[in-house]
Amino acid sequence: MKVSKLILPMVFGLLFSGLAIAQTAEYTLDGKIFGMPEAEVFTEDYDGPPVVGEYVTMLPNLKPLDYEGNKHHEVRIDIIVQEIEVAEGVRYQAWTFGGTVPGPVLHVREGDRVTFYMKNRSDEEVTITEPSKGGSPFMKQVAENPYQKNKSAIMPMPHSMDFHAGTVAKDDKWRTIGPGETIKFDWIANYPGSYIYHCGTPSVLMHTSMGQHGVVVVTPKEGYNTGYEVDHEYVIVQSEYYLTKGSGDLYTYDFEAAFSNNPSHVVFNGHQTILHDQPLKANAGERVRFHVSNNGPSGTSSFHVIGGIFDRVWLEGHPFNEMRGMQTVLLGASNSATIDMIIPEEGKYVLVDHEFVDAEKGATGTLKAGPKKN
Amino acid sequence: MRLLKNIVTLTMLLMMWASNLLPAQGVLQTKQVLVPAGSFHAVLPEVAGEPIQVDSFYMNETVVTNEQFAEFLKTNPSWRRSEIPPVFTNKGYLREWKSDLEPNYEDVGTNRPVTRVSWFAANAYCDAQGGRLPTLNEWEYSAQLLGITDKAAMDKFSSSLISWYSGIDAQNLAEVGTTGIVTTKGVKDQFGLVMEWVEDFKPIIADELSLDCGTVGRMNTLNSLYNYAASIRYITRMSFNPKITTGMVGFRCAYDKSVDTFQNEHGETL
Amino acid sequence: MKSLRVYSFCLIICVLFSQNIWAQHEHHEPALKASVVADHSLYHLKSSFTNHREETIKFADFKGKPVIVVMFYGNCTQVCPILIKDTWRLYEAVDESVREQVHVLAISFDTENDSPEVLKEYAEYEQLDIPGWHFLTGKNTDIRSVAMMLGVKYQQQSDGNFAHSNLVTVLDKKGEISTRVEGLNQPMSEAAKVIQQIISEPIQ
Repeated sequence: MKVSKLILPMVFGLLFSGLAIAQTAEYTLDGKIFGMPEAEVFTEDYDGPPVVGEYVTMLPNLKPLDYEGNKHHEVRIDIIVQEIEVAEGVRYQAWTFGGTVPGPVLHVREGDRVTFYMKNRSDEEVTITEPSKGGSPFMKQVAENPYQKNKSAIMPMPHSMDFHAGTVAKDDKWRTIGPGETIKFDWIANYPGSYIYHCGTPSVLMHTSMGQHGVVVVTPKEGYNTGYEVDHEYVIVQSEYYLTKGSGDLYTYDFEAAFSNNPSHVVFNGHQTILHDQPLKANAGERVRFHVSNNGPSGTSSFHVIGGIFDRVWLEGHPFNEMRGMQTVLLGASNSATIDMIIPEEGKYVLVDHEFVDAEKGATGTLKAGPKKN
Repeated sequence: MRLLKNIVTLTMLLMMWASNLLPAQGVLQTKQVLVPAGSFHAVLPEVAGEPIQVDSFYMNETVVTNEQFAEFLKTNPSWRRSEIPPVFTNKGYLREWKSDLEPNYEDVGTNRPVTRVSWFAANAYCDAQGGRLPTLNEWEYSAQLLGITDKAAMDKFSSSLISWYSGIDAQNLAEVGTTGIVTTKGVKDQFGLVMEWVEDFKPIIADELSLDCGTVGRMNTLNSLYNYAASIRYITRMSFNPKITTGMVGFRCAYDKSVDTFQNEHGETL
Repeated sequence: MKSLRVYSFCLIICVLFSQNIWAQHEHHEPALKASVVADHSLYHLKSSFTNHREETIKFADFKGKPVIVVMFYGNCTQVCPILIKDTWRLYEAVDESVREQVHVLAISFDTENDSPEVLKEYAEYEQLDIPGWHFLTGKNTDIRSVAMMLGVKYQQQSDGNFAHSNLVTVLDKKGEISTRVEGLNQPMSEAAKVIQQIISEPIQ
């Protein structure tokens, strides 16, 4: 019926849109696009894969952008509770984006538009370790990597999403949704670089410590203008855990430790030994590009690779911020850097946070270099 | 003589019939505790720095259980899982129950809080008992009557409360009345068991707060860990909508006067 | 002879008694299933309210007619008069030829003070004691339910006043929310058009 076609979307739109927020119509400034449509919050029975999107992968992988110019991505990253392993013998029920801590890596190009869906499934059991249809490369990579053996769990809480790569009004797009609700909004990757995303629901300290953070890598429109090809690209995220032994086998959030900035573990890619047990690979004479982000929530990182010197460093991943020949890059909480390094010779290289209390709490990883290829 | 016997038999049978119309009594009634009038400093005060006044009221000693809710559903079929319309809840309503009237006692145990009920269902239950949901201020006022005067002890309590908010095991809830957390008036488990619906869980001020990090800052007073924990609780509660159901939200009822067992809300005695 | 009469009496009582048991059994439920009333309709709220004319009103009474709903309270001197006026503007904006099909429910959240008599005085003072307009009171639990269904927030303050949001809602012929106008002094022309559309479409 013609009239009901009009009424129905109006009913849904008005019924579920909540607050009337003043909307800025889309406009362009300095070549960047601003003024996104209002976010929609609704309830739907979606029970498909929690991570959907062609360019979404599991750390440390980055999906190459095999398209020219800009693209409109449709991405879903649902919030689910998973029991994960943080270190040998240390497991806890984490609040996650997509099922891992840190969450999945999204790769886009500067100027791309992302239509983002997120369902708060913290009150549902969702398994991510089995192969699923229609999910991202992320889902397949998780299913094939039995390392953490994630288990589904339930802990209903309100959550939200804050993409640092997006430039929007936070009271609209980053708003908190209750369990069972879904939020949908658009954002444009206006600036290149690696950007944290995290849950912005208070207490943000608690929500990020509980695992809700990840990274979006935005490749610059014109690249980094280096004149050379990079052989490998890896994404590395540093973060802290504040855990204490619970009453059973599992660990729990240690509020006092979080409040006094005393993490129990500081890790790369969510696990104390994953980057040793599953080291990064390269060969002597090759160029490796690291996209490094310090997700915090509270610590700083003095990122260094033992045995190497960073040939070029772009602070925050922006081509304009080029530095040359750095031994160590200082990253505050939510800072990032894109780092190109030449692998000098065959052997082992160790990634560290050179603030050694962090390194000894787990912020280390390995890159194994094979022989030079001619 | 025979006529008298007939009349007695008839009256007895009529009374048996009428008794089916009464709400379930006896074993399934929860004790009502008097919470006397007073004031407290809320994290969302009406006037900054001033305490909020609360009139005296009665409140259930423990939260509503699966058994009690099942009993309510026997005489209130429109609130059963298969009958309840979408305007009053979402698909998760009583999702773990075996059927319309059967909670899953084998998996969750007996005497556990009923959860996965929407605000509308909780409101209807309390209304049927001759009561109502407690207001946000009533609930918060009662909850902080812990009788802990030592600041260090209070901080320790608040700290464990914060840990509880990040580690609620919604699938393994304890029996009602067993957390050991009791107010000085005798109300049990306002913390440590489930979060609870209140009448006005999203006060008007929620519109301005937009539930962000600024909210925590606004609610935290210097050195009060209790307020930090409260801010997490307020924010969680304000993020709900009345149709939502989750495994960690239950409820209890409040009453303006102690409801006599055989008197319903309109004061009719049966 | 007498014993037969006695026993048949008892039998009748027993049958009545057992009818009651059956009535509580799932599959013997009386009708008004959810399918009869639209999924998101406010008619699902079975409660009775009392209007300023001491009449009993239910939401389902207005089936087949568009309804404007507003929530306010009598002692509100600053904001509610504007809200009531906004409601009046919407009502007036509906074409005169069909206006009598539109009902207005002004529901007070001050159940303590706004009795039917007080509401009558209020209606007369506002010159809104007209056919089709109902100033309503009821049980607190029911008034709160209405507010929750509409999305109106209110909270009583220590001084007896209410802090509240401002909303004018239009329900369609099935009692579902058709359009909402939030805030004060809002333009009503769009909402009025919606009401006209509701009136002109046939009942499904």
